[in-house]
Amino acid sequence: MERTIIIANTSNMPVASREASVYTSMTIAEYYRSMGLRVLLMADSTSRWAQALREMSNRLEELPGQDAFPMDLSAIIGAFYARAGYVYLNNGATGSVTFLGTVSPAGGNLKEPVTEGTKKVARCFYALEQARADRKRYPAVNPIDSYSKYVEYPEFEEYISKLIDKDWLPMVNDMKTYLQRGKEIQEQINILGDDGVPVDYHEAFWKSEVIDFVILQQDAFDKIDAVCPLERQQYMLRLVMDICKHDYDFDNFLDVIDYFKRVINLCKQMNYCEFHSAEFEDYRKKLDDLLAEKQIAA
Amino acid sequence: MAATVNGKLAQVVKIIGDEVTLQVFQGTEGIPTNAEVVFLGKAPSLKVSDQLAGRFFNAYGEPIDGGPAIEGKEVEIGGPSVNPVRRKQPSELIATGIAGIDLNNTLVSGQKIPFFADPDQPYNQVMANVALRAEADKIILGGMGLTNDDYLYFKNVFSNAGVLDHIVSFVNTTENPPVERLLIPDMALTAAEYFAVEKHEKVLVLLTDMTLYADALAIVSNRMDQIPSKDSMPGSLYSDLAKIYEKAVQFPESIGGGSITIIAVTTLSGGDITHAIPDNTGYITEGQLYLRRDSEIGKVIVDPFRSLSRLKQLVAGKKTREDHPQVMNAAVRLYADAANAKTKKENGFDLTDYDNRCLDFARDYSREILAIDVNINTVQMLDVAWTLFGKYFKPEEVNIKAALVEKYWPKA
Repeated sequence: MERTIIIANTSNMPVASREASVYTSMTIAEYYRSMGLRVLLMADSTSRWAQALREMSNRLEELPGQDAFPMDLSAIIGAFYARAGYVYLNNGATGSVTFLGTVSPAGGNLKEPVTEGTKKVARCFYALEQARADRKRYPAVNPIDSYSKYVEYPEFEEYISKLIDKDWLPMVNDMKTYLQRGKEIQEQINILGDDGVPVDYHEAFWKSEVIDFVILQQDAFDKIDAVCPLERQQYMLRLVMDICKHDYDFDNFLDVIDYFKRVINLCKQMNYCEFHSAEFEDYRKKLDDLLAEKQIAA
Repeated sequence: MAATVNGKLAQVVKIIGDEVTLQVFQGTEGIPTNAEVVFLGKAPSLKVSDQLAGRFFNAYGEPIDGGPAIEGKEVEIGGPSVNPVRRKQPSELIATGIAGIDLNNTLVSGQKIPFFADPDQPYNQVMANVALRAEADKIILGGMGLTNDDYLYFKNVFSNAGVLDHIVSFVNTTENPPVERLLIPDMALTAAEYFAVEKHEKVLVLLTDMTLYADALAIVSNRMDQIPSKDSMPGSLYSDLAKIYEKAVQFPESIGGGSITIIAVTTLSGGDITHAIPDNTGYITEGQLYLRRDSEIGKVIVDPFRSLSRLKQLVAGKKTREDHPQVMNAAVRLYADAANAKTKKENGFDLTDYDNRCLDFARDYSREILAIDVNINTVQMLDVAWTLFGKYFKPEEVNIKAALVEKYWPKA
């Protein structure tokens, strides 16, 4: 709490103060940035801020723009996001403001003015998805629709190679490819049926499910699984990518499903254990035995 | 400030220079140009005391049940809501016996949550059920544009259950002038504040239907020549709704406790949640509940998919049994797998053994836990869920933490 400042404007407070609250917080953030600090600013939600802008624009009797938002909504959002950044101070030191905003589009429709205005200016986007939430795949961030443009920066590549190792980015990229492939196959299965696709399609699909369940999903209710430090992420990602890279020996798709469900369950139990605890290693051992049953040696 | 125009109650809505705009609640029909205007020198108000309990009132707070007028302290309605720093984080479960709520979307005292329902869904019946089963000291019903049938339904259900003595109702029926509806939420919440603040009671406020409230706001804004905002709603819709919902509060024990929980109904047009009314509501409230008719069992359930209580994590597994969060998620995950299996079946594909087991599970889960006519407590809900897991699945198919599986998995 000592490093936290909360600017709270509840929904019943005056509309002008709701509109001002992001600016108040950004000003405080910039103050600390000029002291050479790294500041994280989170706004929940910028859609409510846009609602306040809409209400004020209406009161000023401006002609309404799309969905009755002010015509310059996109410019206002852009100007605000531009205040985030990494700066050189006059004394040569550096400071930064990282801005994380949440957008709550009406009915999950991403083609609405606030989302569009935000996507134009933000470099990074986490798409929360109703379908994932319905299936209790939490956090409900769609791995395919979400993106970070920073991973394309050579500076970032260099940094992450030093921080973790140089295999990290290619590995993440491979993971995305598996997920994409899994999604394509799922669509095929929906059209052609389980029998309509070859067994290795099922294998590829279930590999993407392993990634989804073990790497992407976390249980916020569980003390251990709720937080996954970088070292543990690295360990689990290596483990899962190793599972994905192998070929397996299956007679039919039912075996594939049954087998990978057991794999997923063991990995999930690992996620619930203290990292490298006896229990954790025990599940790892069981997992290795299970993998040895079906994996075809490279 | 309140006023009367030829005896009809009105409210000042705008003052520019020496020009005053009055909103006449009953409508302006029949008001002559030489009408007499009397300013009452006070805002619309309600007399509050313990005598409110068990009574029915109209939008002006006048008894409509033939009983005597209320004696008590006169309080202006529509006062400010509680400062966030004076509140306590909601953390007490309100059990309703409805699994779609208790198990999957736990209701917490001090929460504000609407039902998003289509007009043909039995939302008022579900609300009445919640009111009867919820462990609350007082229940305040705010009915806006209720049909007379629904009004009588509420009245009969409450009297038959013998609970009328802890229910206070403010009712505006469909034939009453729509603008009068605007007073209902403030009347209901003023009564709620009396019981929560002065008597430290656990108060549940039911507001139905907020869509008709918003429609009345739109009428006023239109008459005042305001530029319409999205869906012809007034530009201030968000603020107007927030003023109501933000009255939900949990007081800390240090000042004696007490809480106001708001359950509202927002009817949708053809399930459209992008409309300005549900959209604005969703920003303010702490989740939303949807009803759905499950064709497998022919009964209404609280939809396990789109429904959400944003405060459930404050009580699930903390005030309820430890396995609650994992069981709730595992069951809905399997229910989602069943929905996939159903699509597969409808498309004419063969189902796997797992698909069939999911379908059987979903049917039992729906019938024995989710159906709104089932009335069991959370421990029973969890036990039934484990029984169903054991009946249809292997532990590795439900992905629940091993320690919990060991403790609760039904022994063969």
